[in-house]
Amino acid sequence: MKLDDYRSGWQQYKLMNALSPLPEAEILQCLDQQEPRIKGRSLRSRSFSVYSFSLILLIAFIQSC
Amino acid sequence: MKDPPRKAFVKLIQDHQGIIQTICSVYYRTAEDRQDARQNIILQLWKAYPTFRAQAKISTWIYKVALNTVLANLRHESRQPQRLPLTEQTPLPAVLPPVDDDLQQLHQLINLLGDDEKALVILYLEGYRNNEIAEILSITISNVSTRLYRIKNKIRQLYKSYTDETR
Repeated sequence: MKLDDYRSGWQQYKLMNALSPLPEAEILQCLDQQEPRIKGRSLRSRSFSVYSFSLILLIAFIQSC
Repeated sequence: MKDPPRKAFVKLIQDHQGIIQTICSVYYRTAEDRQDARQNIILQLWKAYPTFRAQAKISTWIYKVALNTVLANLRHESRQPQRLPLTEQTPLPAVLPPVDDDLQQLHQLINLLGDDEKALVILYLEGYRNNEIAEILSITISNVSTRLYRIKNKIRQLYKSYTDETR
């Protein structure tokens, strides 16, 4: 089996995926999006905020000592 | 810069949606993940649309933006519990039994590959030359040649192991 032997399967796969059309409404909705959808992004942002806040508290504590 | 016409962009996406859907299917298994990926790709294409040069081939431009968007997102996702290849995520087989069905063969191949390798194979099977693949993925031509050589070797070895075992 060689990589080139997969070409026929690839063409079938592409055809299969081209069958379901993308609705215009979904495309237009994407254009109005400001930020990319990344899973866990909000969670990571929250973690970063908690981290920053803890750091500020620590600095304030050290300064007061 | 003046916004490019939305109507023309929507038509462009609809005309080439097969490329976007195929890339999402190769990298993501669940419908939700695929939809997220699809929407990210469309957003990135929309952002890059004003800089698209008419002399470039539209499908090549879509492949470039789409693959780089997916690969960048995958690198940024720290945990991907739901991300699976086309078929069930199973440990890599020590040998590859040949199957008659072309689609099943392709699934086997996709299960063998890492994220970067998938991008290379997609472009290779699409018929792009090494220099074009290098341009699309922003890597060197020698890097493309080396990686493709390794992938081809990997496939050959797995099938050879199967043939040796069944003798």
